[in-house]
Amino acid sequence: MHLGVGKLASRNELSEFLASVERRAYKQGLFAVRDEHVALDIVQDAMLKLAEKYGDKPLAELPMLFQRILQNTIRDFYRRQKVRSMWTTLMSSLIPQHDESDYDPLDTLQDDDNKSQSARPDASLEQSQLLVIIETELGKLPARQREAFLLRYWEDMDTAETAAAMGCSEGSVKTHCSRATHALAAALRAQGVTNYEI
Amino acid sequence: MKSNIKTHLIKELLNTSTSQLAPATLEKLRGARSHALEHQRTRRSAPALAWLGHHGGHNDSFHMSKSMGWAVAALFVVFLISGASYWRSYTTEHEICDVDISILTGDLPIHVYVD
Amino acid sequence: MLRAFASLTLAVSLSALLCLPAHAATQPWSALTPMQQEALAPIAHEWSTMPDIQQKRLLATTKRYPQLSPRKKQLFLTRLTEWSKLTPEQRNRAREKYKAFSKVPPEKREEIKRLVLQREAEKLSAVPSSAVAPTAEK
Repeated sequence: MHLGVGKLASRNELSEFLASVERRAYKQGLFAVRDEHVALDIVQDAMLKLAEKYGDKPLAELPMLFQRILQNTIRDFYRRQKVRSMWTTLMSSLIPQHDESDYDPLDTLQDDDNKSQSARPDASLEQSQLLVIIETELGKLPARQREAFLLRYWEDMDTAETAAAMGCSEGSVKTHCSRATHALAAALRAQGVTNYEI
Repeated sequence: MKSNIKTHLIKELLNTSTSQLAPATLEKLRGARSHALEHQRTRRSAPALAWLGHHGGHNDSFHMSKSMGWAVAALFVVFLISGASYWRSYTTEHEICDVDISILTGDLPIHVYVD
Repeated sequence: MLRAFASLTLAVSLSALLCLPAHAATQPWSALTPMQQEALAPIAHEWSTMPDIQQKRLLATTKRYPQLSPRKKQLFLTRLTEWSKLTPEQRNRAREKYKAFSKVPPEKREEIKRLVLQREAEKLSAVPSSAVAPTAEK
């Protein structure tokens, strides 16, 4: 039984880490489930799991551990959502249960009440429009591609850390990333956005 | 690593979006953060043990040695943790048993619940 | 002397208590009671290959078996094999789906049940063609 303090993350360090990462975590959740309440639940869940399970780990290990927990939590909630909406459509329009291939459950979840675009007093119009485009395209990416892209380029993780967080090989990370960037580039080009291309 | 879009620009744009989140959302995130902190796992049972060891050492009439104090406190902590995790796993397993029986004896065939 | 006693107490108690929440080890089929063997008869030949958690959970369900009606006992036995063949992840997901379904209002639940059972009946009476199995998610 370890009774020393050593390199274990203190409460302050954990607090600062969570504060630094919570907004991006929330946005990541939003991209996947497109529901503010569910995205908040995801972040709360992930933070709790990190604190409970790994709150005694060194500070340096927390980013990767948190991202791993976050991605798994997002996946769990996403799957749960699919169940709920599957039953919802069964109830409302008696769609056969196994026609999942043509049906995107997330279509029913996007509603006008989603106010994630609301509080923008300072952004220029062009920037806002650009943001909407990019966020929409990110939301359309397959989950693994979006994960890899955001972990590499938003969380600034290297391929090794990203692989550890995603639970896959570094080769897979590179593949997912390059597919994501290609898809994003094509989508942006199609919408007339040119200044993001190299 | 080569990529065909300016990922740093995308990163900047995304960061801008996080700075524009609604205050209510930020408040909820802060709440989630403090809730998580309350449950931070710590192996530091040192304060409790130190107290016991300290008081045990100074109490002449009881003659409790320092290591005895450590042992008793450690035992207490282990009791608490075991009890808590035992109770948690007990209730979870109980729920799982309920659901399993319902699935196995319910009206719908199993494959309805399988992907 | 006291120190030795304290360390011994600690060691014994720690090992005893830490075993408490742990899963039971696997049991041989012969160690099961006749009632348990009756309830789990359909998977008797697979019993020894099952990990301890799966065995534990199956034994937990057998506690309810005696109180089931004859019809439900039959359902239990019929479905046990298919249930045991699922992966642990599939079983967990099935449990989640069942829990989600329980939250649906009763009338809607009954409606869905009727619909599903109707489709099941149709499938059974339909001419069997080359069926396409639903692809697994990954």
